[in-house]
Formats: sequence, structure tokens, C-alpha cells
Amino acid sequence: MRALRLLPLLALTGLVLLAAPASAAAAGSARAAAQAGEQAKIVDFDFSPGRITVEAGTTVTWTNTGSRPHTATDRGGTFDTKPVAPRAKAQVTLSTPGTYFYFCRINPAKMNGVLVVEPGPDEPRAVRVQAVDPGFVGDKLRFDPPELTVAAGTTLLVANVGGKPHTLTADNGAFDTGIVDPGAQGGRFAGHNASVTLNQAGTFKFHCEIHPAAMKGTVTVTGEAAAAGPAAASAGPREVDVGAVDFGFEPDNASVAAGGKVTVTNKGQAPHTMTFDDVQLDTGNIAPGATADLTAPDAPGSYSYRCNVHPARMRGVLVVLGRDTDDPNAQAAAPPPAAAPSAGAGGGGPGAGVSAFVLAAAVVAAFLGGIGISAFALRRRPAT
Amino acid sequence: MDLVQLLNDLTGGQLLLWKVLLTSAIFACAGLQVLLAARFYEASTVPPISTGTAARTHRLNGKLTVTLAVVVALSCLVGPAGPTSPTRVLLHSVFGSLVFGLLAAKYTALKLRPSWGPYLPWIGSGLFLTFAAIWGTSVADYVTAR
Repeated sequence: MRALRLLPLLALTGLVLLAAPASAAAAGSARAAAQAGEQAKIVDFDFSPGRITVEAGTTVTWTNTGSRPHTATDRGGTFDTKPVAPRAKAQVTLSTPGTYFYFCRINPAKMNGVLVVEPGPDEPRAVRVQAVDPGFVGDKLRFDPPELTVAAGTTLLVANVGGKPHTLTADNGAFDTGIVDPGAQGGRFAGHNASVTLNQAGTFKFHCEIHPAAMKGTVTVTGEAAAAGPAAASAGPREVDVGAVDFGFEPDNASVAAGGKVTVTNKGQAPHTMTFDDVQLDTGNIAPGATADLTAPDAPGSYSYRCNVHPARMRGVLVVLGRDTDDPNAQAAAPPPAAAPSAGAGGGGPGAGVSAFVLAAAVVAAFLGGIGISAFALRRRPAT
Repeated sequence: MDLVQLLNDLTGGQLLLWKVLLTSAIFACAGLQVLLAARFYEASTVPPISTGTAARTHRLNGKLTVTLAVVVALSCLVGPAGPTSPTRVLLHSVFGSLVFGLLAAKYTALKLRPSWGPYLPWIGSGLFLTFAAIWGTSVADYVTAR
């Protein structure tokens, strides 16, 4: 019995001894990760520096040096670090050139920054255009940039960072994003985005259908014109592989054709998931070494996702680049959007199998505890 | 040594699942604790065992519960958290801290301040309810998030 009495103490001591080197290892890996890419700080209540310029593919690391949690969130809805605790870090890697107005969605009025992603050595497959308005950022109605030159097959990712709805529509009707909604509360929070793929060479003037007088621009598409076909033909690969490591996605900004296949391989030691924020796509738990497949959404755009097991550290964006109509068999062969993990993932999510046990335990506990507490509450006290 | 890796190796890559199972077991044990306490305080005739047996079982079950709670709590601190929202994590952390505060109060009442004895049923009931809150902010969230 004496040994039993010491059991909790022994367990505590043993785990603390094991935890110390683990924490040191985690801190070491965080330091190693932070050495690469661009470093920036979050303070109470600002971003420092307020404007960052990086090359496409660079990892930006924000360290929260304040005493409150903050986020770095794209006003166009393509990335969101989720709340970063004091002294914690968050990383974002962006491969789509353009200007990103970002903010802290906990303190949206106070904390705003600008991240400029310049093209890298490779020809970009997508370029970001921001629809800006007086909404919440106090700017004027405009496209940013108003003039751009891209290669044929490039996708324009149109991000509404303002407080009003906008479109990006070719004057000759060659392309149109449709209405891109603003963020909630007049642009106080993150807006939405849409994309069009430009396959025809030439110079196209474009405008916003809702603010045609103020919002205009020109895009020059260079290179050989693509074969005749729908303007939304995909510029992205039909299949893409994403690795889940401890603790990040590689790459964390993959591009894929609409309806394409996304294969997630867990290359780490911990279980991971790929769970999308805004659409019903979830791999479920992927065991170390296992893979799971998902079918990308049909609607072009940027879709943020996270690992449900490590949501604070593992985030990414899947860029869907227009439906590929060339090979209908590719879509037919792909699993449905809410595909369960493949057999390698250990079959079905553990949640399904454990639900009955959890429910039974809760009922038993509530029953026993309820009786006990009731007994205490109702017991007769001896007369004094 | 990487504790997260060790725990994942021990659980075959299903650390969260094991945490869910252990937390549910802890919750059930906490319910049993209250029932056994009610028995040896003679506030209840259920379960139909002697008060001495109820007290011994209560102590044994308590040690098991605390041991499991310590293991799960430390794996929470050093390992991965589950499906999450910041509010859930905040509440889970508050309740997780509270449970060890209540345990400290209970041991103080038992070993150092016998005059606190009349408050033990309240502390015990508080412990059970706190375990329920911990369960609700972790396991229930894990299952409903699937």
C-alpha cells in the first residue's frame, strides 16, 4: 500500500525528467526553423516591421513578443496564423507574388501590416491582385496592382481586402471573377478571394462591375495563346503531394487543379491531419508513415487548412487553379471530397470507434457522481 | 529524448486516442470516488459494501485516478493538443489547473488541517465537477469535431 501511495509522485517525477529534454529539443527545432526565412515581430499592438518584402517561397516567421495573443491574418482570406500566444511563433510561406494586407483579427483596428511577395526565379503560376476600398483600411477604390504583365496560363488570385463587394471583370468579357465578398462588418475582418486563369495572349482592360468608374486596370498576357477552350482551364497539376512533418506542411502553399487529387503523407512521428477551415474536407488522423487522399474543391480559390492535432503550428493554403476539363477520368478516379484516410492510415478515424466508450464513460461518471453528490446534499444530519 | 515521439511510439501513433480513453476513464473514476465517499460518510447505502471497504476502495481508486490524471496532464503540456479553439484551450487549461488546486486543498485537509474535514465533501464534489469540465472541454470536443 505504501508503494501505491507513492505512485502518483513517481509518475510525476519520471515524466518531468522525460519532459525536460523533450522541451529542450522542441525549443531547439523551433530555433532551427526560425533561422530560415524572414523574421518579424508582433508587439502589443503592432507588427514590426509594418512592411515586409520577401521573395516568393520565403517563410515569414512572426514572433509574438507582446503579452497578449495576436494573429497575422490576410485581409484577403488566404492565410491565418490563428492566435499566437506570447513568446510563440507562427510561420507562413507564400508562393503567389503580390501585395498582402494583413492584420490581427483580435485587434483589427490597431494592428495592420503589409507583406509584399516578389516573384522568385521561377515564372509564377499565380499572381495576386487586391481589390482595395475605403472600407476598413481607409484607402481609395483601386486594384493593387492596377497594371500587370503575366505569362499565358497564369491565374489571377483576386483578394477582396476592403469592405465592399468587388469583381474583376474583363472589359471584353474574356474573364470575370463574379462578386468577391468583403470581410464581415464592412471589412473589419478578412474578406474572400476568387481566381481566373488567363490563357489567351493579349492586353486586357479590366474593371470592377460594382465600381466601374474608380476601379480599373490592365493585364498583359504574354506568350503563346493556349489552345481554344474554356478560360478557366487549369494551370495547376492534377495531382499534388503534400508532406506532413513535425510540425509543418511541405509545401504549405501547394497548387492543384480544381477537383485534383491531394495526397498527404505523414512523414513525422506524431499523428497529423489536413483539415480545411472553410470547406468540409478532412483527412482524419493520419498515422506516422501513412497517407490519405483528398479531392480538391471544384471552385478555384485559396483554401486554408490546418492540422487538427497541432493547429497552432501546422497551417497551409491549397491554391485551386481552375477546373481542368481535359481529362474527365482524373476526377472520376479521385475519391469523394470527404474521403476517409486510405488503408495505410489505419482505417477510419479513431473518433468513430471511441465514441461509444466515451459516451458510456460519461454516463457512468455522471450517474455515479450524481448519486454521490445527491447523497451528500440530502443526507440527514444527526441531531445534536 | 523526445517525449512526444516516445508517447507516440508507445501508443502506436494514436496518442490523442489514448488521451481520450484515459480522460474518459478518469472521469468515470471520479464519479466512482464521489459515490464511494458518500458511502463511507454514510450518506448513501449504495454501493452495498461496508464503510471500511468503501474507504479503502476510495483511497485506491483515488491514487489510480491521480496517477492517470498526472500522466494525461503532462502529455497535454509537452505533447500535441487535440482539435482546438482558443476558448476551449483556455477553459481546459483553467480547469486543468483547478483540479490540481483542489487536490492540494484535499490533501491539506486530510494531512495538515483536520479542522477542514467538514469541507471534504464539497472539495470532492468540486473535483468531480472539474473533471467533468475537463472531460467536456477535451474529449467531447474531440469526438464532436470528427
